[in-house]
Amino acid sequence: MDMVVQGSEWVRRNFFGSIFDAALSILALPLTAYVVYLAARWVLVTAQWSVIGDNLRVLLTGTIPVAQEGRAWVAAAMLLAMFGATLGSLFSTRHTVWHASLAILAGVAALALIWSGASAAGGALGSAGAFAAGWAIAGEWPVLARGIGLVWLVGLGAACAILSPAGTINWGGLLLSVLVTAIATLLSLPLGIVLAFGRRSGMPSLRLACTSYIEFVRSIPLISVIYWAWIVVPLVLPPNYYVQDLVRGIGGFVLFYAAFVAEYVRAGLQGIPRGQTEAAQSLGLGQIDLNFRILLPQAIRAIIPALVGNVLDIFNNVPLIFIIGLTDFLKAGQTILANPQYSGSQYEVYAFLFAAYFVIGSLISFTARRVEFAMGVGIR
Amino acid sequence: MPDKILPTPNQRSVDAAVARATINWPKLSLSGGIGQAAVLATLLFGAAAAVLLVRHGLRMHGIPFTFSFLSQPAGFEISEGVTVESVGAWLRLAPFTAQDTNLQALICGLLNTSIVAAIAIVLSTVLGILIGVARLSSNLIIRQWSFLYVEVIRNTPLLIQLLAWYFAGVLKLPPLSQALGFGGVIASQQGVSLPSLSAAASPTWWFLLAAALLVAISHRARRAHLPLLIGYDGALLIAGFGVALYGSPVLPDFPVASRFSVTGGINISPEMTGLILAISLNSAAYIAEIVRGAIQSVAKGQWEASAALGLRPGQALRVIILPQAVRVVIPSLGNQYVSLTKNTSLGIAIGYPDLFNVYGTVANQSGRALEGILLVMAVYLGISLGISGLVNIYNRRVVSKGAR
Repeated sequence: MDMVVQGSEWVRRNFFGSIFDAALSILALPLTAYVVYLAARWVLVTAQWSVIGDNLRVLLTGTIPVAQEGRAWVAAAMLLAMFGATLGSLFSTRHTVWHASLAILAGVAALALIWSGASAAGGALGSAGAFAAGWAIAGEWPVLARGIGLVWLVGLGAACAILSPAGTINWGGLLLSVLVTAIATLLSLPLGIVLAFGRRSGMPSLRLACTSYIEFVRSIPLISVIYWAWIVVPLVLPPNYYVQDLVRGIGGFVLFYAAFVAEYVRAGLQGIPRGQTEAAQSLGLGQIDLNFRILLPQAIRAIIPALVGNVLDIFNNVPLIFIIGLTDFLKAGQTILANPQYSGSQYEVYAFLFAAYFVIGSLISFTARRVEFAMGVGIR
Repeated sequence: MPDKILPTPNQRSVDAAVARATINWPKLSLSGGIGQAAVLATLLFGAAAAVLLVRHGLRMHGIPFTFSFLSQPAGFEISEGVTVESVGAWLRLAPFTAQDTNLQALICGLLNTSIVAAIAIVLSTVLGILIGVARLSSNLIIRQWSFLYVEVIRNTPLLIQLLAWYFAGVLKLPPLSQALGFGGVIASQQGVSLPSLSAAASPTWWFLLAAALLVAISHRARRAHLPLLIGYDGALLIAGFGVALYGSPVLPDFPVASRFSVTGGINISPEMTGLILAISLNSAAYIAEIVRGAIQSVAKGQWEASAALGLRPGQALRVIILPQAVRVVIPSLGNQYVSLTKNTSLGIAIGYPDLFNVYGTVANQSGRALEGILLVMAVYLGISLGISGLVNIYNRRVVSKGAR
């Protein structure tokens, strides 16, 4: 009985709080139901999802030759293991993020089974296993969690080495998007930290240089920075020397996002009470010890949610490398549509890409929110 | 008798630290003059080295560094947009043609960028405020829909939104012969056409209108006790005379679709429609979050006090809460406008001739990629600084007005 009263009270408060609300509800409820019905009917009945299953390889790994496909799977499993380890160093396995990630991986494996048969499902399950293993290991050995930056550095290097026989020109799809995101995140962090300290430095010349760099980069579009990095590098090198497009593109990302990281780090440094600096100085710590042992760890801890948000920002902007001719996840979808055989499947391909991006992006921003919550930064 | 206290290890280390802090170690102070000079020298050396490296590279590749391409004829067409043309001592706007110079092509691109940015700023602000308020609605459905909207937009790349709006949206509209019409607006694969106003009256009318405007302005400026015919009444009277004598000053100009083209009204190309749609709807989600945060930052007591004074929630929002939220909102809104303007550079993905897209063509045609990108970056820097400057001025005015 109580439940019924509470339930009706909840309904009244949320749908019929005022006459205006009631009118809105009467209008919006059937409309919502209709939209949900239309969407469900399209997804389940009308849409021809075979285009995704037929091209899943291109969507996930680009044009890596079939003979080298095993390398892509190994690299993907390594990346997932490192993601697992990163999340595992932030959360325990009892956490919602753990359940959410596992549910999504299980869903992906199920979809792979439906669309591409047992081998793809096996690959997806293997990757899920790597993810879970990474998480468990990081939970078991906290030392791994503390050195997570080093783990990523070594792991990304190894993943690139494993993939390199396939030729960077063939790297593509979701794998490339994730790789670029990870490398850009990892490399922009140290550069951003240096810039942030430069901007706070007591030396006017250094301060001016760092401030101008940060403000300049922040006020121009990313696409122009990528393009710039792409154009300038060959000009500086001798004519017969060649740096791969991918490397130049990632260089653009690093130069661009370092400016944003610098601003986050600066905000973090500003949030540290002055007493910390004074205490360190009164203990006789030098400038370098003060900055890197006292201030930086506290600043980084405070800005982890913002840095996770930055990862989402990078991931969402990776599609811009189409400008230098690389095939990321989104471009892979467009490539499929360029094939006359699939040109009629526009809605299906875009819906799939949208859904995939949305799931990954939501997971990242959900993680950021959880981290913020876990650290009590959001609650004052 | 007090024993001599033996120093514990802990105390010893504290003593040592105190000693270290007090003893004046002969150290090289990095923030001193020598350090300054060293850093300055390193920076200058680095910059000079970079410039020399690029110059050396250019020479090695046999490419000169020159801006002379700006005055050479472009030799390509731009699908839409106007550029600046000099006629004698005057400058005027004219459609871009292949005979115009590369500089004029870039100006055309800049104008196209500015148009999209200006329209998108207005649209996204209006929509963003609506959605931001809806995020706090007491109605669950409205609240959840706006939440879903914000999440979907913010968690997916802008580029896929743009491509979806263009390829799966605008280009999937019916052809012009079966164009959708709604309240004078025509929408088809060939873009959107809006009704416009065209000046159809005699010049005398415009003199009268100008006079009315002047009178109204003088009223506003002085707000004094002035005789008849000065003030809004006077302005209305003059305008009334005009209508009585010469008819309406402007006539609505409705677009009419024939089989292959639209005549009349304002025509917006499919590319521009797609870009404006994508950027406005994307930016609206971010603005909604800014607005929501600002509304929530207004103290709860303000709502309660308004309710106690008998204001309805809607009234309280309009009269009490939003004016206070505006002050919190402006700096973040300025940042959002800058990022919106930068985002127009994605127009290249759907072939809208914005600044970056035109630059790409110019670079291809003239081979002057490096000079061009420096120019384009400088222009974007200028736009960003301009927007932040304007927002800062407005912010200062609003804050000083609301200062307690």
